Amino acid sequence: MILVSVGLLLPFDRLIALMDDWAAHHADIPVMAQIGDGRYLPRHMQWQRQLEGPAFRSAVQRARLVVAHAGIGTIFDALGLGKPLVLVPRYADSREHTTDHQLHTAKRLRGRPGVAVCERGEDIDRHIGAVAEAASRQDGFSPHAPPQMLARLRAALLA
Amino acid sequence: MSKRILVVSSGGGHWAELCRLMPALEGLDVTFASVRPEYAAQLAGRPYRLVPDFHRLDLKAAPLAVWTMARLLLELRPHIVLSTGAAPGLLALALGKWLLGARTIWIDSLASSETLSGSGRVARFVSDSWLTQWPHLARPNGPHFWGAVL
Repeated sequence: MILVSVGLLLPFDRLIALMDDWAAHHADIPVMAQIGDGRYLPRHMQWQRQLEGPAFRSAVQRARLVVAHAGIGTIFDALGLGKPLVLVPRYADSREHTTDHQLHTAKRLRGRPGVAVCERGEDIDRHIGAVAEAASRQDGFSPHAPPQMLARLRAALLA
Repeated sequence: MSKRILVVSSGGGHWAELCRLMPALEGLDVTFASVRPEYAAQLAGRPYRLVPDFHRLDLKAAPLAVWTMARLLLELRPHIVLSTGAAPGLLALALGKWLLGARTIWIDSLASSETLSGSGRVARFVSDSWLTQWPHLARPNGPHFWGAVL
């Protein structure tokens, strides 16, 4: 199963339409989409509006691959569970978000093993193919910040 | 006596970033405040308070948020207020400083990698420690870089 997610806060119909089209061409692969408050209703994939917290992580766990907006929470959940991830960043000029920060985040993560970035106008199928084949293990991805940062923050809290 | 600490974040990625800082908060006198009731379940019984969410494009809940946060601060009287963003965290830092003279720490989001976030730019004026998670955004007079949650 491939999991598609737009996150909790804003709809993202471009991603849902893109993946619905992809699913139409890959009828043998089940696709589950979390579409938020989007107006585009998928015809070729299963969908639900919200999938939160533990339910979302359990869906990630069952997925072979995750295609999602470039939100930090989603990224941590996918990397933490060792899933290949195709990030589809939101663009401010299409009113997909207030700023282009998702594009910036995605570009900085591009190149990590098992992470691909599908910019606007790019072929999502190529990116899905690339991460699905890449050695995508993220074993050892810690649920916590690096020790140096934790130590520095703790020292400040104890000061 | 251990200092009282209030940790505030909004939902989604801001909360996810905060969760990655948990080991730094272990054993300290911390109350968490965020905007979704289900987050309480992730805290293994540590104190959790729900606060109203708002952001700059949707300020409807802002007056209620100011009232709720001010009451929370006056009740808990934290010595330190820490936030990973966004608007509710900025509000907590500002009110914590003005009402209580609390020491304040702002950790700007990992998602803001080209420029500081909108709240992060304002946080400069109410933070004792004003932090970015991207070394290339750090400047000698702040924001400072102590590391990143990733």
